[in-house]
Amino acid sequence: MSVFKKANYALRSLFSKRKVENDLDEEIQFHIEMETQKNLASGMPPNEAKRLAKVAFGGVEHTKEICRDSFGARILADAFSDCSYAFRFLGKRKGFSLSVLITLGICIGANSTFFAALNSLVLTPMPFAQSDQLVEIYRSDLNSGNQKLGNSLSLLNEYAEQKDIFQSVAYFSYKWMNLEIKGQTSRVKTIPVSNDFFKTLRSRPVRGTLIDHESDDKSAVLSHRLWEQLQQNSEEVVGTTIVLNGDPFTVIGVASPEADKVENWAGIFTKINQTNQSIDSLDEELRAANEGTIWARLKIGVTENQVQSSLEFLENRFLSNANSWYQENNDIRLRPITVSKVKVEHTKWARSRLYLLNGTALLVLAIGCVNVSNLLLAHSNARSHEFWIRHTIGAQTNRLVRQCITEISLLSFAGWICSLAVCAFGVRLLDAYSSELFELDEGVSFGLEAIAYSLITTICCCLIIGLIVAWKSLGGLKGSGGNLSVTRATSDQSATRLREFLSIGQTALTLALLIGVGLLVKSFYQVVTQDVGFSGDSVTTARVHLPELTYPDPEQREQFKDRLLEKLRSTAGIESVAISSMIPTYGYPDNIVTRHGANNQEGSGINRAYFTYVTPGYLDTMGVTLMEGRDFEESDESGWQDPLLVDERFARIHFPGKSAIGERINLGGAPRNPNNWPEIVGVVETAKHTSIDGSDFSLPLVYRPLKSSWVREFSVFVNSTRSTSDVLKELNEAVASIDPSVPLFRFGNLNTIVDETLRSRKGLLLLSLAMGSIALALAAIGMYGSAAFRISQKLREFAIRMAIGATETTLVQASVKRDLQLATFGLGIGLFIAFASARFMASWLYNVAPFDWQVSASLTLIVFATCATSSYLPARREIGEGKVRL
Amino acid sequence: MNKPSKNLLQGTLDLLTLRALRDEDRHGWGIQQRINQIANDALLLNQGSLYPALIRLGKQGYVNTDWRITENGRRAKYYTLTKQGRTQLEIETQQWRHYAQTIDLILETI
Repeated sequence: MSVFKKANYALRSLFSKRKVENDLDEEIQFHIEMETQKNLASGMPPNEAKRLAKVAFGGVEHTKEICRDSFGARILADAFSDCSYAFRFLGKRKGFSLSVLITLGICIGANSTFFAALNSLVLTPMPFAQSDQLVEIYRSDLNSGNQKLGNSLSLLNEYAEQKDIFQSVAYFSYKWMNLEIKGQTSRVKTIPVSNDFFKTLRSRPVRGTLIDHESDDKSAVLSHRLWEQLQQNSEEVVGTTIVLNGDPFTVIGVASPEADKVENWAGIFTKINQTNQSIDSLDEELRAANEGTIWARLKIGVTENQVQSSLEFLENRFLSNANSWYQENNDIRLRPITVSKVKVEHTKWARSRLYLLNGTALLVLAIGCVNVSNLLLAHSNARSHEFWIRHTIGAQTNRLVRQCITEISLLSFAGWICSLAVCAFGVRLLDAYSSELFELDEGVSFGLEAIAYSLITTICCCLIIGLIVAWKSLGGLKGSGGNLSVTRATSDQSATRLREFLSIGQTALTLALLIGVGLLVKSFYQVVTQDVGFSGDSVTTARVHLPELTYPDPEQREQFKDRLLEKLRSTAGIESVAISSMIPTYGYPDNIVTRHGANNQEGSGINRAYFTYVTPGYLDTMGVTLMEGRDFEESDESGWQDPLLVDERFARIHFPGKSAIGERINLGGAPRNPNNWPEIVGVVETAKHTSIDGSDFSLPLVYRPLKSSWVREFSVFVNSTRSTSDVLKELNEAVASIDPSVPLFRFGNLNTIVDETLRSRKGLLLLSLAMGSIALALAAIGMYGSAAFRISQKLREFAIRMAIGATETTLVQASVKRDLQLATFGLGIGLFIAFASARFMASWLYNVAPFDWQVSASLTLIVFATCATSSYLPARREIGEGKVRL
Repeated sequence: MNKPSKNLLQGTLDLLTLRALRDEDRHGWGIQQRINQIANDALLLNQGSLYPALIRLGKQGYVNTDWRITENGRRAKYYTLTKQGRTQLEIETQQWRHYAQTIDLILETI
C-alpha cells in the first residue's frame, strides 16, 4: 500500500509539478497567516505579528526545498531541468562540445572495436556442446624454444583406452589436396579424421551422416563452407563422388558450420583408413612422429592436471622399455606433455595480439579522458563565478555536482553514439581482415556484448571525468569562503594544479604509447630491410602436387620433374630453374640431428634441424651463396649415402671451430644400415627460409637431394628477367604439356609470396600506428586547448605585468616555459613507464631491444616538439598580437 | 545553570503529529497549535519542519489529505488519520512508553 502511496506522491510531484507547488505554497501561506492572526489577537502590531509568524515558521524556501525532497522524485525532476540547462549551455559552446564528442567517440569506439574482436575471437566459447570439456594434448620441445609439436596417430588408441579420464579421443591432421568435382580442379584443405572425431565434437550433420566407425575408408564429409560454395545448398550432394589427389571418395554428408572451426579454411573431412587407425603405439618411430592433433573430451569432473599426470605416467612407462634412441630424444622433461583447453590453444596467437591492441586502445582512452577532463576543468574554472552565485542563493553543493555530471553525461552520451558508429566501422574493417590480422578464420561481429562494453566504458569515463571536474570546480566554493571575485586576475590554484597534473599524465601516457608503437615500426623496418639470404626479386614460383593415384611410381614423378626442368631451361629468357620440396616461410619439416660417432645425448642446445629437398641449381636460382664445398650435382640422389648441404648455422652449432665438410649426420636417429650415413658436401649461407620475421623458432637448415626422394609436392623456382606473368604463362604451358590435369597453386613472384607472411605484422603495425597517431593528436589538441584557455584566464595578470615593464616576448617565454617544465616531467614519467613495460613488448619485436634508446630518444624529441608547438602557438596568438590591454 | 532543553527528541515529531490527529481532522497550523497547547509550550516545535513530516506520513499511508473550507471561510489542507495510521499510533505510543519507562528505570536505579 505504502509503495503505491509513495509512487503516487513521486508521480504527482513529477507530472503535476505546478499544482503540487501551488498547494504547498498555499498551505504554507495559510499557516503563516493563521499564526499572524493569532499574534494580532494577542495585541501585537500588524507588522510585528507578521514578522514573528515568519520567524516562528523558519525559512519558507528552505522548508519548501525539504518538502520537494520528501516527495521522492526530486532527482528525476531536477534531471529534466539540468538536461535542459546543459543543452542550452553546450549549444552555445559548439567547438568545445564537438571536440569532447569527437575525442570520446574515437577513443571509446576504438576500445569497443578491439573488445568486439576479443569477444568474437577469444572470449566466445567454441561452438561445440560442452566445449569446456574439450582439450588438446600435445608435446612441446624445450630445446626448440618450447615449440609446440604435433601428435602421433599411434597414440590415439592408447589414449582412447583411458576410459576413466576421457569420454572420447579424436585425431586429425590436414593437407592440401587437388579436388576434382564436376570436371573442375581446385586445391582444398582436407582434414583426415579418426572415427571418433565428430563424436568427440558432438557435432551433427547438416545433410547425410558423419564419419564414424561404420563409415567406409573412402568416405568424405564436406565442410559447411565448401558445401555452400560448391553445391549451393543442393540436396544432391550426398552420395556423389569427388576425387582427391586422384583418389575417388564418396560424400556421405555435410558437416555443421561449427565443425569448420576445427581448422581454418577446412574444406573436406576424410576418414583416416582403418588400418592406419589401428597401428600400434609400441613402435618407437611411429610414436615419435608429430604429424597431427589429438583432441579429447574429458569425463565430467576430470581436470587437465589429472589428465596430464595420467598421460605422463603412460609415457614414463613406455620410456622405461623403449629403445635408446627414443629414450634419448623423447625424455618427458625435455618434451613435456601439455593438456590444454581447445579454445585456449585455438586462440593462443590471436589472444596475445588482441590483448596488445586492447591495451593500446585503453591507453588512448586514458589519454582521451585526461584530455576531456582538462578541457572541462578549464571551462568549469571559467564558470566558478556562476557556481558561486548559485551556491550563494541557495543551491546545495550536491545539486551543482549533479549539474556538472548532467552536462558531462550528455556529452558522454553523444560521444557514445559517435563511438557506436566508429565501432561499427572498425568491426567491419577487422572482420574483413581478421584472418590476416589474427590468423583466425572467424568473423568479428558487433554484438550486444560490444554495445554493453562501450556503454560501460562510457559510464566509467563519464563518472571519472565528472567527479574530477565536479570535485575541483566545486571544491573552490568551500575554499573561497564566499570571497570569490569575478575581478581576480588568476584562476583557482587547486584547479590549476590538477590541470597541470593531468597534463603531465597525458604527456607521459602519450610518450609511453608512442615508444611502444615506435618499437613495432622499427621492428617491422628491420624485418623488411634485412638480408634474408635469398633473392626473390626476379624469382617466380609455383607449386605442383602429383597425386599418388596417377603418379604411384617414383620413376613417373622423376620423369615429370625432369621434363618440367628441361622444358623450362630451354625457354628463352629463363636464366635458371630449380625445384624444392618447400617454399620459403611456409613451414618446413624438422627432425632430430644424429651425428655419426658422436655422443648425441647432449640434452641441451638445438639438436633439431629443418630440412628440404632441392635440385641442383637451387642455390643459384635463389641467390644463396655456397660458402664451402660443392653444390649438388645431377648425379646426387637420396637413398644411399645422401650428400647433404647444410647452412652455416648448422655447421657452427654442430661442428664449431672446424669444417663440416665430410662430416656424417642423419636426420632422425642413426640409419638402420651403418654404411648409409649421409655426408655433408657443402656449407651454404644461412638464409631465412623458414621465417623472415622471427615469429617461428628458427632451426638450422639441411638441404637434401630431391632426386629419388619421396617428394610428390614441390615448388618450382624460375629465375628470369621476364615479367612474373610471362613466366607463369610459360610455367602453366610447360606443366600442361606434360599433364594437363595437374594444377598450379601458390604461384607468383617469390617476394610477393614471402611478403604475404608479413600481412599480419603489417596489419598490427598499421593499427598501432593509428592508435599512436590518435594519441599524439589528442595530446597536441589537449595541450593547445589547455594553454589557450590558461592564457585567456591570465590576460589581466599579463596586462598588469606589461604595465610594470614586461614585454610580450617575456610573457610568451614564461608561458611556454611553464608548459615545457610540465612536459619534461611528463616525458620523464613516460620514459619510466616505457622502460618498466619493456619486457611485455619483447615477444613482438624482431632485432630490436625492448628499450631501444634510438626509438625512445627520437620519440621523446617528437613529443617534446609537439608540446612546445602546442604551447607556443596559443601563447603567440593571445599575447603576441597586442591583445593584452589593461 | 543551563536552561531545560525544549528540543524535540529525534523521531518523536511523527508520533506527536499522529496523536494530534487522533480525535479530530486538522490542518497543519491546527496540528502545531494542538501540540503546543497540550505541551503548554514546553516543546520547541519548528513550525516549518511539520510539513515535511506530514508528507512523510502521507507517503507511508498514515494520513490522508483533502482541501476544505475553514470556519473563517479560508481554503486549507486538512489531514485525516487513516486506519493504518491509528494502528501505527498505538504501536508507537506503546514503544514510546516502554522506552520512557526503561530510561526512567535506569535514571532511578543508577
